[in-house]
This record gives sequence, C-alpha cells and structure tokens, in this order.
Amino acid sequence: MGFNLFTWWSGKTFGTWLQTLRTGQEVGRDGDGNIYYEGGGKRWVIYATDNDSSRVPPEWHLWLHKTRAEAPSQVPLPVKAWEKPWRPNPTGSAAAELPPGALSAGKARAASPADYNAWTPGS
Amino acid sequence: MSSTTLINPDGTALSRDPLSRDLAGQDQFFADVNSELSNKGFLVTSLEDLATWARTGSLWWMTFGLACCAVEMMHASMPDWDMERFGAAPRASPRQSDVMIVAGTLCNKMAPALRRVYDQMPEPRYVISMGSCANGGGYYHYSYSVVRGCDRIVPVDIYVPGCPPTAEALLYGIMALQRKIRRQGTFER
Repeated sequence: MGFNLFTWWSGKTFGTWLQTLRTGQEVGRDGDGNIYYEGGGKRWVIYATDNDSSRVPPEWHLWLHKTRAEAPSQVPLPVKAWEKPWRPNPTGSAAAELPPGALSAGKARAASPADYNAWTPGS
Repeated sequence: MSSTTLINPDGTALSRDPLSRDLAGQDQFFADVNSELSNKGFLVTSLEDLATWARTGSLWWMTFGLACCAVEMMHASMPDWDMERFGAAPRASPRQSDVMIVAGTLCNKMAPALRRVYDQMPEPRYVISMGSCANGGGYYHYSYSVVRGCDRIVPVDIYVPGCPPTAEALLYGIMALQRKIRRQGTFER
C-alpha cells in the first residue's frame, strides 16, 4: 500500500498511511469503495477516488462524526420509502446545477415580479 | 449545458469551459501524475501542470475577517482542521497572498478598502466568499449600509454557504478552490 508524498487530492498522504498502518482497523466500505477505519479513538476514511468529503454517504457521515456508535456495516440504518440515493457534490462537473441566469446556462433569466425600472430624477 | 462562449474579463474568449471535467477518471491526469510519482520517483511534466501543482499547494490567504465568520476562519487554521496541511497559510500582506477569504458582512464603508486590497494582490488571485453575508448580504440584505454580496465588489471564485459556515465547510471551500484551479489549469484566467 503506497502513499502520496507530493500530492494530497487523492489517496492517502504519508501521515494517514502511517496512522492506518499503526492503529487502523477497517470497519467497512460504502458503495463507492471508500474504506472506513477506526482506531486510537479516531475514525477516518480513505477515499477510492479524489479526496472530496461530499463523497461520504449520510449514514457513514453519521458514523464518521460519532453521531452513531455503530457503523452502518454493523447495524444498518432503516431505509425509508422516500429516501433518494446519495450523490456527491456535482460542482465543476457536467452535472453541475446552474440557475437559469448563470453565465454557463446562457445568461437569460426569466422575468420576475421583482423586476422594476429605476426612477430617474426629472422623468 | 449550453454552448455559449465564456469570456475573460478582458473580453477574449476562454479557451475551455471552466465547468468541463472528465467525470469517468476523476481528473485522470492527476491520477497518472500520482502513479508516476509513486512508481518512478520523478516526474516528466509540462510547465503548466507544475505551475498548477505549485499554485494549489501554496494558497496563501489574505485574511479579510469582517465579522463572526472570521472566528470560524481562525478555527480552520487551528490544529483541529489545520488548513496549512493543504498549503493554505495566513498571510497578512496582500502583496504576497494568492487568495482572499472574505469572511463576514461587507458594509458600504469597508467596500473601497476591500477593493483596494484585492487590487494590491498579484495575479493569479482568487477570492473565497465565506458566509451568507459575503455571499449575498445574508441577514443584512435589506440594510441601508451593507453591500449585498461581495461579488458586487470583487469577482468571487468559491462561495461557502452558512451563517457562519463551519471551519469544516471553509476547508471544503479551499479544497474546492484547489479543484477549480486544477480544472482550469491555465495561465490565462
């Protein structure tokens, strides 16, 4: 298992690698292949792709922030009928959400009741 | 996404869409760089890629703490979150900083000072707008003395929502800015 000495945006840095080697116990993996570790009173994740914390799904986020004691791989959370699948932050990708007036969406905004003509003195 | 041409501030066309990104590889190029570094121990790269690596790795930030957001900005550079492990170090002088973090309510009286500090920063410069007040006026949107968003004064790269955003959120914003620089990866802005 290697670590990245000069880069930090994917995989693990030297410190994370060393900590995982010394104290890390693997607790589980999520659907994206991110691996979750526990040890020495700490909980951490090593991402499968780039290090973007929005890639942690909500049930693992609960565990990672010590809101729940048990990992979802040990005690799964109940799945509600209205739940939608988690998706990470799409900013910067082709799937990014753009408001209608955004530069990349054509700069055309729909007319709004809040639009007004400024008063010019003397008119 | 539409095919509208984006333009630089000087009116020239942007050579590539800043929002484009290869989704499948999650920045395949940098994965290649990573493997090259760990396998060979040396790197053959273009000057631009090296510049991008250096830029993202040393984002010295100009502190512009205006209100309670500044407290969270301080937290983000304290040991618990430790921004400096991503190369983002506080720098008091605008002449030597790369990114300005506008943290808090920007009032009308402060706006000329903010613009002057921004103008003193060398290119390439980036702006992170932190908190709802800096993003769009927030709680003070209807006040007589508050600028309704610091993007009316300076061009903003990253908006961090929250009132105030947690230090974690600001750290995410800094990493988002690094991703944005890597995505654009160009000398022109």
